[in-house]
Amino acid sequence: MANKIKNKEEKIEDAKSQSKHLKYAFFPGCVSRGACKELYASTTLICKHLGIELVELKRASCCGAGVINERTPILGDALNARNFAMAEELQLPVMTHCSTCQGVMSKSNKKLKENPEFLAQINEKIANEKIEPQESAYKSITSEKTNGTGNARHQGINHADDQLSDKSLQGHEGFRYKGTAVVKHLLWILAADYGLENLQKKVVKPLTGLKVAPFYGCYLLRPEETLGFESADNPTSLDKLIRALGAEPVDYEGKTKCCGFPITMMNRNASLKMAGKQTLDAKDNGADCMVTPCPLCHLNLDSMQPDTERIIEKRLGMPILHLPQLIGLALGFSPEELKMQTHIVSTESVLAKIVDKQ
Amino acid sequence: MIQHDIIIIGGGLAGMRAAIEAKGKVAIISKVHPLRSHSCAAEGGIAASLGNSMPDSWEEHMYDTVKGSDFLADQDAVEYMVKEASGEIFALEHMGVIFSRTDDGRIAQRNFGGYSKPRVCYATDKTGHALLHELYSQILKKGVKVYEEWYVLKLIIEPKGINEDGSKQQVCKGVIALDIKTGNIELIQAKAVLLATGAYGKCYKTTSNDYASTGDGLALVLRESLPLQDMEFVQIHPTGLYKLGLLVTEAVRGEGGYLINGKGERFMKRYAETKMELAPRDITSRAIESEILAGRGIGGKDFVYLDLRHLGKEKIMEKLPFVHEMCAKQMHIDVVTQPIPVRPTVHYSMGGIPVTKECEVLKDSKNRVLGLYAAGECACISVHGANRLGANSLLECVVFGKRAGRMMNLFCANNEIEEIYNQKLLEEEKKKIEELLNTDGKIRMIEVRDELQNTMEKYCWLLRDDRKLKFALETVRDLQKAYSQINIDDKSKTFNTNLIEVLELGSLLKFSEIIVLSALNRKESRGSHTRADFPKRDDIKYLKHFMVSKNEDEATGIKIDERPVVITKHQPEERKY
Amino acid sequence: MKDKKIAKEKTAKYKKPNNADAVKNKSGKGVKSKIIKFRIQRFDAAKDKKDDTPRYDTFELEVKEGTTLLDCLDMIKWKHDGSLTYRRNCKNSICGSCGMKVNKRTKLACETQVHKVTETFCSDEILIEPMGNMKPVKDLVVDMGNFWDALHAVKPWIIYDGSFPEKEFIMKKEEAKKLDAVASCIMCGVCYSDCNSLEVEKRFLGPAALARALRYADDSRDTRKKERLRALNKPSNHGIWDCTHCFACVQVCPMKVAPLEQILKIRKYAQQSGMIFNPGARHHKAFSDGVKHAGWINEVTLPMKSVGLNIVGFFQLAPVGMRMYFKGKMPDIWHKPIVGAEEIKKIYLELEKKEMSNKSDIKEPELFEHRNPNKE
Repeated sequence: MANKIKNKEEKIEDAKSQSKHLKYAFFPGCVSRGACKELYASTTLICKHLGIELVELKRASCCGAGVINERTPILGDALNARNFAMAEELQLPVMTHCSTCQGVMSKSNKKLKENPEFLAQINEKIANEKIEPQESAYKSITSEKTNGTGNARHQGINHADDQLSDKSLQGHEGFRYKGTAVVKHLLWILAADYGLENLQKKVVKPLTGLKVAPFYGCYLLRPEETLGFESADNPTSLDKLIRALGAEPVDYEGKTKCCGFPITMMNRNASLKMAGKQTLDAKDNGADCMVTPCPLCHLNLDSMQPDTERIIEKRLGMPILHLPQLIGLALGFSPEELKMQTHIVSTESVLAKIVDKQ
Repeated sequence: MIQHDIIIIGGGLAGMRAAIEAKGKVAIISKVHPLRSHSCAAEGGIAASLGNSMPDSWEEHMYDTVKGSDFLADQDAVEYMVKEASGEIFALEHMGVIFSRTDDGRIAQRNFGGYSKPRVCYATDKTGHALLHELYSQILKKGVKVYEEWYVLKLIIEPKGINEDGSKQQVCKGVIALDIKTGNIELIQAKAVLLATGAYGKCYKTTSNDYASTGDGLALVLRESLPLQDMEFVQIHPTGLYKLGLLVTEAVRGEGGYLINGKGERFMKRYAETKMELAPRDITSRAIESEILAGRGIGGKDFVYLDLRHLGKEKIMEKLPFVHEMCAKQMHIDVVTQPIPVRPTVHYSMGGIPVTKECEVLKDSKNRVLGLYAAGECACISVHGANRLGANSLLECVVFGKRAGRMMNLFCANNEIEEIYNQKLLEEEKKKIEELLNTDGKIRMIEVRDELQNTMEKYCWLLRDDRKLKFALETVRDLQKAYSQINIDDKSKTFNTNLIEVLELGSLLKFSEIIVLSALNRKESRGSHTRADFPKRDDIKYLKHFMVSKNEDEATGIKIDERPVVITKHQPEERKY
Repeated sequence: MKDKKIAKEKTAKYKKPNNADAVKNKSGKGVKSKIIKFRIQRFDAAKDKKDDTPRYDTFELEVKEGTTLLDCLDMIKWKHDGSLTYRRNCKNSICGSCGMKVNKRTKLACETQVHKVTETFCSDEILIEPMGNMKPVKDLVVDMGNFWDALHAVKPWIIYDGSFPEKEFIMKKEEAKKLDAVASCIMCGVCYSDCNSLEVEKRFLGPAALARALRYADDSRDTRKKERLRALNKPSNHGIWDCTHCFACVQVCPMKVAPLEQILKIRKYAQQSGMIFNPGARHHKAFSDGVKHAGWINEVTLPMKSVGLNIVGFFQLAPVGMRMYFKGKMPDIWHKPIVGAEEIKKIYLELEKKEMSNKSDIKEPELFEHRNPNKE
């Protein structure tokens, strides 16, 4: 075991010498700190392992999740402008690991960036905030290199490192968003910034033979005008990533459709039918599991699956993995470390398949 | 048996406007869903002398229209239309049409070719769309029955009594129509029938008209040995997208766009010194063709540039977003930085089914067909004469659509549904379609249609002469013979668009012949009709309308009737712009 | 005539579609041209049963760059198989006739360039199918009855209680512009076809009808805004609250009407007018409250507050909560405020009330530029 870790560390050094140091302002969002804590755990775990440095925006508010943004859109934009301003101060791009956060923040950012007058008005509203010096406002989940403890898995709250601007540490008169923030989802970061070939080099436990249905969902793709990372008609990043991990991506129509979560409270029946439709589609196309870049999709596909099965009157038994969990497995982390035991639908069948191939 | 009080054939602007006005059991029969009608493609606007941006009057509107028509328009009809215009615009606005506004919140008006004042009300550059969708809303509200995707095969017209001049009186008793979705053929009886079948530009290759603009209404009329009037006047719009024929709205020039030739000149100064690019369409089209013929097209080729770069991005995006988009999509050019390659394209037909000022269809110069009406582009009430001014067509549609509706109400109040004597009509029509479907022909529909369109474009285009026209006539008649040899691949009854296309081709062949015959008959140049062999206007011989019909009683099989032009206020004079 | 069995895929080859050169190459370089396979679904409601495996025919054409899908279909119909059935009319994306699924995404055939499709999908074979969420009639033609019924249901006409002005209504320039952007919908049904909610909820009015509803609710000439909002807001009418926010309509709309954005506006208006006693509005309120008090959402109370005093709803929720609790997935019962929650609350209090009462001094810009030309 010790040998293995050492091996890993060597590889990390290798990768680092090849690629530039990646660092992001991490926006975890609400769900990964609430109902999907396993997402938070696995994201931070794999990022640390891959040498991607994350500085968590602890002072950041909820992005609005599309709800505040439709009920009171200006408030939604103000909250996001405030969050973007924090990342701007750190001079870091924002990383999300939730499609909903990504979609909402991209939309808000586009609106703020393209309408200087609007941005100025919003800035007036968020500038009144008095920021007390508060070092724990930013949490740095550092990579091994900057973290002196040597414990690669340590997840404690660390002081913001010295790259943070003095201003944010010392407190100041409110926030002011200049309109320069860049918001990226973990998937995009891995596919574009980190590089899938580099990710592939880190794979110690290829997921050979595992058929994974990529569930892109909505907010990472549509509308292309605001997101624009890849074609909404034919996205490929998640398929390619699955392949890089040694698994086989499953092609199915439901992969770019809605999981049904947004109407779970308004039309529960339709919501579950939707989840059932996409899950069944994946199953019919031979998927062993589905992987999603969005914790809300996870909630509807995984936590609600027993209800879904009752509604569509079909047995699904489809394990749903968070994106970083799937990556974590290929990087050699244990299911426990990735907190896969917290899923409602057992992931045993997936794990068995991976073990088999070893 | 299906019965209605009023049947309206065509669900475009004129048809729907009539339906809104019509009372009793009203039905629209349309071969496409009403919202797919070609009216939606009208971009520029609708004319009315509201005087919202500078003082204006219906008298000026009338003079401009009559002058634009090269004095062939019937001035009583024009007067009616321009007087009604403002009220009609307000009525449409009250119905919910979203007109573009002035700074003080009134309906904005812009300049158009041939007008002396900014008189054109608009909804950005999708005016037709704005009107059509709002009228459809009214149809929904009123609950008018719409036979959508039904194709009318035949008008039922039978004799009834004697006219004052001793000729047989005729009355329209309904229609026979094909339900495209199921293939069923039904007889639909009515007290009054309105033809509002729209444009017929599809007999040309280069046209801004849509697929459905095949003049089926004209063919229905011809089949009953009724005449068509002024068919030689086909408006060729100056600015169609090069090679595609799609229309670049006149609003582009209205907003200040330039026409530029290969030498980089604004060549319109040679043809219309004062009005320049805003000369009427016939003059501008001829100017472009003349430039091209003189080798002054762009790079010596057969197109010129329509340049709006000097307008700036903001104005283009605000006033002409659709043009911007269309050019990007269809031509891959950005009109903000690049000029648009344009060539004249067939756009509108001034001629059509002759009607009285009350929209009643004429059998000959004196007598009407009872219960049969026509309005919109398919009709020739003659408000456009030899050349239509932009934005007068939408106006014609709504003003005379409404009038037709009212006239039909009056007619229906005094008449009952007439019994149909010929009981075999429906069976005969069914048999005909059956035979057509089962023709073991060798010719593909497209071969005949291509040949027709190419012939019309080559020999019956802007500059005509006797030789060209005679050749065109011969070819069209040959093609009519070939028609019976056309094969229909699709034998199914369900949604047989193959059959419909062949039927539409039948319509095209029928009235194309009349266009050529009419062009041969008019030995002068007037408005859109230019004869190279008779380059001058001849008011003595030709200041009149001609009605041409197929008539087996005549030796030539053709009957040509005359109708005087109604001149009330404005005597013919030389047109200068 | 022999009764044909379900036809096997037939292949027809045509080397030179002669209208393909109708589109010239602007760059002046040679026009690119390649063989493209069109795999087209065939169907005839009179012959085929709904649940039969769909039939497909494959046609091969040599297609020049810039050629639209409609050009290709015409070529197939005219030159090879006249029985191929589809709707089309204006050829200029204004009549809304030619919606169809191209590699599973609905588009207007007249504005879809086939070379671009092959590039996006990295394949020279293109799958053409009829629009979704509507009953097929023949080949690519569908019965749009439900679509029109939904449109009718929102009363798409101005209702004005009062006497009309002598001339036109006075309307602000900006209002006309704003209305025009939404009213530019061409009723092509493309959004309806790709709507995710409709796939599972047939009673949903769908994006186009709801966008149209907003156009009238927003029109200053209409005097029944409240009545409209109430009807659209009522869950049993399957209006605004059945939208699942998937953005498919925004993505596919050829006129950039952004129907989803309009639905969201109606939701906002409804809540602003005090229509808050339904699961959707309760959910929104509870969500916002969570953020107000702690800076982030409260997933424990959110579902319960959304359901409201509703026994059935509660019994549906309870098992979900239990199963999450036993798996250790339950969010912390104590909803801990984030750092800076107080400051967020301040912003919240300042902005929320004004917005909910429609008194905000900030004007929200439109996100989607109406009919934005293709960005090459």
